[in-house]
Amino acid sequence: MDPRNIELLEQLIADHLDRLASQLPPAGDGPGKEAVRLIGRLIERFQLERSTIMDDLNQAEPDEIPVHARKLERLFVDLKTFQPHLTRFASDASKQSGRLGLHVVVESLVKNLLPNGADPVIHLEERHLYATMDLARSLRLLWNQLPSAADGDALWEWDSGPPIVFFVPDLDPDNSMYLPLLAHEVGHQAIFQADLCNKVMKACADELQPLFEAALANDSDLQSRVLRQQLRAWVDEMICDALATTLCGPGFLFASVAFLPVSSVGSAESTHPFPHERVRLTLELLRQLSWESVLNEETPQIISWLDSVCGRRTAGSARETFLLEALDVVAPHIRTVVLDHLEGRSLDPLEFGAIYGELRKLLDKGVPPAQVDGKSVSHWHIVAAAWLLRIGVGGDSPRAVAQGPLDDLTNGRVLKAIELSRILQLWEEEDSVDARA
Amino acid sequence: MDDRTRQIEAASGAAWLGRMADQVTLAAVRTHVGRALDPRDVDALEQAAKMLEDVMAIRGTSVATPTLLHAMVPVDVVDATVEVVTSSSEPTAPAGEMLKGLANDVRLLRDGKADEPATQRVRSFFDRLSEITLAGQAQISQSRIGDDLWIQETSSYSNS
Repeated sequence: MDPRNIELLEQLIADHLDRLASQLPPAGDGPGKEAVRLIGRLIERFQLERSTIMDDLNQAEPDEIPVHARKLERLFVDLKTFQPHLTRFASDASKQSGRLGLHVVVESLVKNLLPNGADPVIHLEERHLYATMDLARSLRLLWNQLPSAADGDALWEWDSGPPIVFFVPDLDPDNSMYLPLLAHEVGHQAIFQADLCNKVMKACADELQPLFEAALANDSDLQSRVLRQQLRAWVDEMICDALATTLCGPGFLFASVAFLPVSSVGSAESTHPFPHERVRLTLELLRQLSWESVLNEETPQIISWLDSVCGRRTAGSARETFLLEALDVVAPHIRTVVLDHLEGRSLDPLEFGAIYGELRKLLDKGVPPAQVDGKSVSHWHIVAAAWLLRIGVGGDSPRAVAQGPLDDLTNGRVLKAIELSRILQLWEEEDSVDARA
Repeated sequence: MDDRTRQIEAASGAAWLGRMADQVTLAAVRTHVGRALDPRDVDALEQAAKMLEDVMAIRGTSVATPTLLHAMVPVDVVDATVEVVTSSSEPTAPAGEMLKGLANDVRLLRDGKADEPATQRVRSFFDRLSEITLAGQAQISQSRIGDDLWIQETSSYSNS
């Protein structure tokens, strides 16, 4: 490469890094601090790489120069790729006040699902989706290949857990009826932190192996790596569904039915199982967790409709046959692993049955139902009650499921109830400590 | 996993692979002219040998492969490079055999025992891998979320 081209590239990289560093908010002590710290250290590593490459270029033999020049070009390309994401998340991390109800739910999900914790960053996403991203994990390979400072800067040491970005739809960030979907998304981080997918796969590998070999034998176009990867992706989704179902109860069922939606055809090529399969497995798990009587009493027509449309369909290919048979094999193992992971932190249908009448009455009157019989109410009991109320008011129909999350008044009351119940919980915890003292 | 996460992980994996390939190429250049390897060369050669062995492992037919060292490396990029290099070399070896032989060559290079043909095989493969990853990274950097063919076509180890 012509030395003048190297000069140009070096200056462009320096300018990019300066701009990136200038946009980084000061490292505070509140939510989002780990993301700011990570991005700051990453910028330092990029700066160090730039100076290392330039030192190498200055000392290189002529036959080495093209490789060093390519390294410089790679650094420039990487900066262009990562800069928009880093800028966006750094900006999000600096604006983590507000949306108290959402923060309360996120905090609760982290506490219940993630053994290593998290420092959450809420990102309002222009696309209509819920998702989570472990920023450190996503950048891990890049980080590991960049030069580190002499003082070391371990990626995996956090004061308050790894920085995890929570994507919520910008169009509707305060939708409380869809909050159970966030539980599913946090499940993806739980899979990583607690190695849940490997636990499931290990438990049923012997049962899956003959099915896997049969699929590869029946379709010579199937690649073992691709099929295995797809199976792992499906198992991941099912683990997340099971975690969310166990933690959130019927609220997750209705949120899934409306958001997926259950009527979508899906695809055997997708990274996600067919929507009707997911909803059927969610319904099966709810029944296993003793929610059947609540569902049958409050939403009999919806349940009957779901039972009817969520049956197993005939597979159209060797891939689909394998994936559907694999679902049947892994489902019970997933439930075992999930219940073990949650250690009894499942939503209690008996407790719900005892307070549902009061929750419904309060919601009907426009009162945020944060407290019943002098006790704070679980967030997920509130959300489940709101769903059952809206479906009941809407005539126990598919249309009512679709319209439930659109009711702004209910969404507002639920979010307020979640905020208030969290305050009550904190008082209850203080009283409990005082009583023990 | 959404497109944005997939894009960042694909870019991170490609960055890892490309930088490793650059350093292995440098090691081959230095070995070719009898220059000493530096510690970064040795680290990269070790990573490269492990990566090639991991790629061989996930080509197997066991449904429950253990977690691999280099999670999220775009495997298809390695496979594509194998195809490019095998299709232009004589005699042509099957891809699996080539990966095995290449891992061996890389370890010989690391130990200072590689002969000239082994050194050239390593240089040829990793130089090509470096070019392909740089082109892929450039494509990712210009892409919008959701429309990036390179990301969609380069599966990762993350779920293997």
